[in-house]
Amino acid sequence: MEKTGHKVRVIALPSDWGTVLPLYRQLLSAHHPVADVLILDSTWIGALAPLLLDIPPTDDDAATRPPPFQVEGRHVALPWYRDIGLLFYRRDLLERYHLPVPTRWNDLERTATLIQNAEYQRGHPVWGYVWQGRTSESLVCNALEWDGAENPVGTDGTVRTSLPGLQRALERAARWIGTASPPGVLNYDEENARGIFQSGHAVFMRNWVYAWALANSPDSPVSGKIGVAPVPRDTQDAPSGIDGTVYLGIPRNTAHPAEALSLLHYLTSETAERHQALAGGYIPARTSLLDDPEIRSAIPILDTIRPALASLGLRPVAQTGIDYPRVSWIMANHFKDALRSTQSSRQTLTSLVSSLKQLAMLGQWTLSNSTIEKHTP
Amino acid sequence: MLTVPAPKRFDWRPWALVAPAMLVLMAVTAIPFARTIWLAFHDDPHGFMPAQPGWSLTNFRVLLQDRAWWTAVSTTLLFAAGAVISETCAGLAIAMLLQGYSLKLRGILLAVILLPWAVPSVVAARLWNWMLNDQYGIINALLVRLGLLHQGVAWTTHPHSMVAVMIVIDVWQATPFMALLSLAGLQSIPTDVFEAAQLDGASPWQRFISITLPLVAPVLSVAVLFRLLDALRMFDLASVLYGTDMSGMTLSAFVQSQIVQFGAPGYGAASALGTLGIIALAAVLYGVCLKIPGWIRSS
Repeated sequence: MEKTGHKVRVIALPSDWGTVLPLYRQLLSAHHPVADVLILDSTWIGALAPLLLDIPPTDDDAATRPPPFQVEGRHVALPWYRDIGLLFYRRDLLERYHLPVPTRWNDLERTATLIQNAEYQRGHPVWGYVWQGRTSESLVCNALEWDGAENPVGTDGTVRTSLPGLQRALERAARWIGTASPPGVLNYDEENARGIFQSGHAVFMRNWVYAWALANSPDSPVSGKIGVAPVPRDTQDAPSGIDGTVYLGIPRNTAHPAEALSLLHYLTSETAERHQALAGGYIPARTSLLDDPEIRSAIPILDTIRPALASLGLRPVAQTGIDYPRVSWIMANHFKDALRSTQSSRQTLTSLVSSLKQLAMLGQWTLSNSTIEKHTP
Repeated sequence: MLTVPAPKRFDWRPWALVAPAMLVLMAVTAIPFARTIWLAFHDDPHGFMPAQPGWSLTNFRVLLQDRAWWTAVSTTLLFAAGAVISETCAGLAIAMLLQGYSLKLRGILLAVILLPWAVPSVVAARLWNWMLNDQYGIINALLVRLGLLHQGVAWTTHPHSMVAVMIVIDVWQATPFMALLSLAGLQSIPTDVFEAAQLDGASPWQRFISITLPLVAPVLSVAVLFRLLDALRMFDLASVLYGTDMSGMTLSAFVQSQIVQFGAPGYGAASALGTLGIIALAAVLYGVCLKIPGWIRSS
């Protein structure tokens, strides 16, 4: 850093995002960690919170959306850049059939089926909609974006016992499989879905921000023919894209807490976020930068997805804390059972609720105002 | 001349000689195993156990009620039984076919057959995953072209077909091993027994049932035990093909995800001990099954 004279060594993370959390668990349990500032996916913070240093609140905290990540009232991580679930579409196909970009999930289903059938008759078989159905975190994101789908865990950490909206959403999505979506969608992750969409074999795709640049790269068959929009809204008229913000945090056992904090503040400063937005296309977490004309021209999709960025579709990470990876696993598996129709959505959700309740009892779900009774041995 | 044995004295030399081996065994087996037992019965801040001192059975109580665990138990047993039985039958059949060929031809064929055995499981799982892909997979393309399917099937999404796919891949991989061991067993049977049976007018089926099978059984039963233990600890296929999908999780995959993904060493240790128990039970059951024909004959 030029300002302070300290040297920063950048340690590359493994390319497989899924292996980072176990790695961090090991690093943070060590006597001294090898890193002083950590890149944190929002889903890991609950599990790592007990091992992260408190970041003192500042006046600057209101300048970002989302705000600093809080666990049990402690600030443990600052947002670095935004990511969000988006709907990608084939502009050329929508134009050919004079159809608008769907803003409701039912419209999406109708539009997808219509174009799929029409294109089939023209001799160009395409799928209507590709998304992420593989049993993983991605499936949880997809399901919670469907309209009316309630979050099974409330913001105060209570387990909701009645999930009629989620049930309807799962039933509708189960209908897509083999009709609007390929049967293999239940095995797709982000890259599989992008493969189908980018090779021109799907009308719609749900994916994260990164897919935009790749699908528009010069060697992409659909380059220039695609558009992006917030995922269809839910009944409350709020865009429901799941928030995938990436945060920065400091391990509790760091040998250089002061320097780490100063680096953290620099990396999340306006200068640094502006630079990485212009150079790398990262969407800044600072809301003031979203209106910056230079950044808006560097990230052209910013204008269309701006309404989606304003709202935060949150997964129950903060509430379930240390148990979130397990909560996510249980949710993904239950959603999957409903989607492949091995069980009715109703039965599946009943079983999901009882599993989550059991977990809430055994676990240490963190919010102090949680209505769940703590398990006493 | 008679040597008079020296009076018995404690001799430290044999102990000193085995000591290094014992120390290594302690370090690599006994200590980790003791640690696993300790973890399984103790406080686990990242898992299910609330912070409390002393020994506790909570991990095991939770394990017994864990639907995912019991699914993993049944998946593993189904997979092991399906895979080992198919591999043994196919391996024996291939070995009997090979035995009929000349030595040179047999060598070439054996080398070709053994190729899948040389492929690492992770690679095999990836290969098959591509071949079974619903959009681009060669297997679906073939079936559609032959008119057997209208559109590609996603083979790896339904729970039943998930286990079946694992069995198919394992059979593809491990049948060569069974064929090789069966062939070794077959070659150890003296040919004059068959000649005598043939002179007495025994049919090929009778020769197979009364001569081949009993004589090859000792070799085969050891090979089956190896395969059984191998199949019960299957991790690669389940992990690569299905990740964290409960319907495709084997016991090893379950234990791994508890420890690595969920950071619950205590619960992971408890499930590891549970896995050990199930494998031991299966091995004992297999031993009992082997003894049954003997009991029938003697009674």
